[in-house]
Amino acid sequence: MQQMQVADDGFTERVMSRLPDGRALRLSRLWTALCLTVAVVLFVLLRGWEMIGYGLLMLTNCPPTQGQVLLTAVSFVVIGYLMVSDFLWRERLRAL
Amino acid sequence: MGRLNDLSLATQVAVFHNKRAFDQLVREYQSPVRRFFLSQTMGNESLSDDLAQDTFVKAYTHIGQYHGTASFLTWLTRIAYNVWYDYTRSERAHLDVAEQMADRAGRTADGGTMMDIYNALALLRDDERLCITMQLIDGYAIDEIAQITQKPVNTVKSLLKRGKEKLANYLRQNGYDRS
Repeated sequence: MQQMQVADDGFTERVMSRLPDGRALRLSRLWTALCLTVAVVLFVLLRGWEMIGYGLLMLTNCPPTQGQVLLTAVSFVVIGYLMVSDFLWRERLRAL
Repeated sequence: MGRLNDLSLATQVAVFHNKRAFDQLVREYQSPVRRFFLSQTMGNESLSDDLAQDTFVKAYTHIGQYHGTASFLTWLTRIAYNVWYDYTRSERAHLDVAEQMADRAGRTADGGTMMDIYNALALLRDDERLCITMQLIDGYAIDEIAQITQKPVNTVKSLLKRGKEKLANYLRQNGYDRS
């Protein structure tokens, strides 16, 4: 059966102009990978496991100092920010 | 375009975000995708183009999920089907389609064969129309329709049978009898 052919008439150009920017997507992924790499390297170089162990030991033995509370609060803020921005980014992609 | 060539272009889009490769895919497949939507919207060109654009944008953002097991057109039609399904689920869509059907019914006197076919298609249920147009207009085999709509083959067969009976009755009543 002969199928009806629909002429392009600028349709392809309209689609191409609506595509999300691949460069921004690539940069975002690159930035995430870079941050993750830096975090892992710092964790290994600074023996992060010892600091965590020491922190936990101190918490059980004596009440935390003001500096420790501040450090914990900063950590939660950073982790929270990363989780929210990741969620927003995924939602943006889903909406496309 | 061969499946290997499609897979090669899709890989270039997924890995390098090569827009030129995607441009080639859009040019190649815009006609069947737009024809699919023209059949579902019963000839509403602007709505069909909007939905076809959504389909290609979704294909671009999810192109990493195309692995070449089915043809690129089948994969694209599956996305188009999902876009159409989402659209018909929205309240706005029901209103538009209902208005369009009323509009077409009112214009029967000016129409030719195409108008009669669209009026006949308007009598069908959504899933019957989908299967009928995919088989008779787009030329898909029954197993491909089942794959795209994710319905069992026997369900597709019975939808086609019922849809064809309704179409034949309508066309017979409107002077398209063979005799």
